[in-house]
Amino acid sequence: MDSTKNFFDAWVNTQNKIVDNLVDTSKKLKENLSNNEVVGKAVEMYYQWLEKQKGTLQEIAQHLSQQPNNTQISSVLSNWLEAQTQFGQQWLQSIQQIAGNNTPQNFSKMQETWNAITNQFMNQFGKPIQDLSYTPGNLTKDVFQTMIDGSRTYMKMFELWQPIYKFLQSNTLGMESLGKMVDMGKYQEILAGLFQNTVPFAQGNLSEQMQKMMAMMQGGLSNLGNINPTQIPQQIAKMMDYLRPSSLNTGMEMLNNLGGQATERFNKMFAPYYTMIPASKEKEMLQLAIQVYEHYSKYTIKAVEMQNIVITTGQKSMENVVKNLIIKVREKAQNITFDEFYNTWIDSIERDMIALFASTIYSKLQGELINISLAMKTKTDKLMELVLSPLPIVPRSEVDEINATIYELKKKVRELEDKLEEKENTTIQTTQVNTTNNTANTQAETETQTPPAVRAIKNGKQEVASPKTRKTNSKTNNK
Amino acid sequence: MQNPMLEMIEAMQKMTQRLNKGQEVLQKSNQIDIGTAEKEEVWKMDKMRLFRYKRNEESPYKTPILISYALINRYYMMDLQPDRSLIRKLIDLGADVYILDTGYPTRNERFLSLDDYVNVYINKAVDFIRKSRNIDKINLMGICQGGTLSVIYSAIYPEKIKNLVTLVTPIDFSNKDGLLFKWAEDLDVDAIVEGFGGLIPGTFLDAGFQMLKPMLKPRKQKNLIDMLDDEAKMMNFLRMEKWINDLPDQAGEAYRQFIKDLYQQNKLVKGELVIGNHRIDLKKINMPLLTIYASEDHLVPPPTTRPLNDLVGSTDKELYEFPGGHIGVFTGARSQKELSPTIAQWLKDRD
Repeated sequence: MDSTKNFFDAWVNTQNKIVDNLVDTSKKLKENLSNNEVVGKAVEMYYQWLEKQKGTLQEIAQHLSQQPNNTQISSVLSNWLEAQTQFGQQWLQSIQQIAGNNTPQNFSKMQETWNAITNQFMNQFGKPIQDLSYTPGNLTKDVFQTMIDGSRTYMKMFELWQPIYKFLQSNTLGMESLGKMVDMGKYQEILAGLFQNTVPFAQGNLSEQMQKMMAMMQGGLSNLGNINPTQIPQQIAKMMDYLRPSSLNTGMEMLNNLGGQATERFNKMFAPYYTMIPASKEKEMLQLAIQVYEHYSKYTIKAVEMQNIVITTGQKSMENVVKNLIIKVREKAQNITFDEFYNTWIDSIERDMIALFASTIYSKLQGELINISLAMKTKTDKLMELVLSPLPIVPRSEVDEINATIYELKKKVRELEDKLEEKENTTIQTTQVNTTNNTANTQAETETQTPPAVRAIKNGKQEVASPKTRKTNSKTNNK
Repeated sequence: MQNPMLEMIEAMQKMTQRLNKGQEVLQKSNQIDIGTAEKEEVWKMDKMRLFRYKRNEESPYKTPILISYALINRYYMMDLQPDRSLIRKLIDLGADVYILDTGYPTRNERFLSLDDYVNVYINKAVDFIRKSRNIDKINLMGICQGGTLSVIYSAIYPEKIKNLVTLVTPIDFSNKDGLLFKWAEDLDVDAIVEGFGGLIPGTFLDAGFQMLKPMLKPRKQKNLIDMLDDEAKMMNFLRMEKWINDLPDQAGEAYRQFIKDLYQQNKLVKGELVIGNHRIDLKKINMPLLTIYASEDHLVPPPTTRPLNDLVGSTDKELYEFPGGHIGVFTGARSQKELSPTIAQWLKDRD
């Protein structure tokens, strides 16, 4: 058994013990909360928990210290142990806090503490698996990640649920209070997490790539004579920063105007230089860089528009969920559990998002975003080819030309092979027909000498032929 | 109403227990077997491979079936696991099954067009089976996009196809109920093909599929947590995940024509589609036709599949509605119990 396997087994066992300990203590805490006896027992529970936790952590530390030569393990392990310890401390504090302050007045403080420890737990849980590369198979790792992500969404929604729960309890609060009670910033984070693969919530990476690309270009621009080569990419990067939306409160119109003005200003600033620069690789690169920048500006604006309609839909969805739950509570005097809230929210937001996705405005916006981002990618690829051109690297466009030639050649070879095969079949058939005719002549000559039954058997055998042969025969006959 | 603090503790407690159990189960799941029905490669051309599924005894059917699967995703979804396998069931019912694996195109294949897929690869595979089995015609079964290609093929080469079966196959692209059909209107396909350098990433297409059911992922994540202590369910889940995440890239030229001519201009139904040197006339499809569609299909909604039945020249034709979704057709319990026997019997009656 290898050391990583040992580590993993030990880790799973330890995690099991820690979770058992947590669950056990939680149960006790729950029982005591129900009986209002938690204050008296908190200290006892604290020490019991602490002792068990220490024992478990010491056990794994001892076990793993015997593992040979694995620096990766020790680094991950020490981080993990530290996280566990921090989590333990926070958890213990929260027990004390909950135990000492289990009154409605301190509810928000308790929930704040609780949220902090759940977040802490979700962040450190599974860290060794995510950090280490030995996890068996990417799929397992992906599914594990999915599990963790899903749990995070679930727990984050739990945070949002707490004020909603309070809201539902109150008959006096109106819908306008909901916005104040629910942390919409957090809700937006959840939405961004859910739709990050489909809606461009994070342009950070793109911006970073662009900055890097501009930095790379500096070398290529150094031959531009009168223009200070360091200023152009900086200017572009600065403008990118300037255009990057910091919040959704920024109006679309303003952004559009800003984008237009910036592009115009940029073009005006550099227009005189275009005419001065002779046609060259450098000029082409400069023009491409400006085009990329223009696309990026447009992309950013469209992305914000997209985020805006998705988040607005998500917020409306949440309002509707709460409205429906209020009606349910009032009419049926039913208890609403978190699971019920979560499931209602998922159903509601799915319905609303599908309606949004089916709208023409969304479809057009999505089309524009895809088109702009790919146009930007095409220009960037071209730019990169020019930047890399002094190096002994075959650019993609040349590889594509080779691929196109190979494709055409393959096609021609296939056509020739088909023709050859057809010709061969025809030749075989012709030979067969000639042989048959010769045989027929010979037969005719010797017919009187051959008995009729033998002739029938011979003819019957000749009827068996492949479909291709039959077809060729028929073609030959038609001709 | 329960004390919210107790509810919090309970939720945390449940979550931690299940997460812990989940990591144990996932750790054990080193091997995720999928597509395990025994088969052998009988023919190969470029990256295309033709497989024939093994049988213990000779097939009672005279005519073998060739399955043409979509270029998107992988064919082994039809043999996800032994008890959820349309292919195994067909074999059990006596069928002699071949499948064309279109592989994973790379940049080398970026210029492959629909003409290549239909007139070269499918055609050569069909010819190979006809020649090796010494028969004139074979049965063709097309799945999803593979169904569209099979329909096109059958219109060009009706003399080679004895019976045509299509499953969840888009034919009439004018209906915009399906989001994919709606979104396609606003796509600049040339920009996409160029932008991706002629090879459309499978993940790009998958992002669109995910949006069709935007909350599927959180639902799945929640269900996953609920099923963590059930190893059998977890393995089912993992197999499906493996298939979902196995996304071949698409040859740009084929993608370009498929989106432009079909999704955007609906040329197949209009009789304007040209593949290679052939203008496709659906009336030339004169063999018996079985059109299977899923009533709850969100990827290929029924209004896009059913019209085939009215557009072909066949006199022996049948529409079969499967109560379920796009994937349930192949992996659901009902598929095993009802759909496979229906297909097998329909083919046997016309063998």
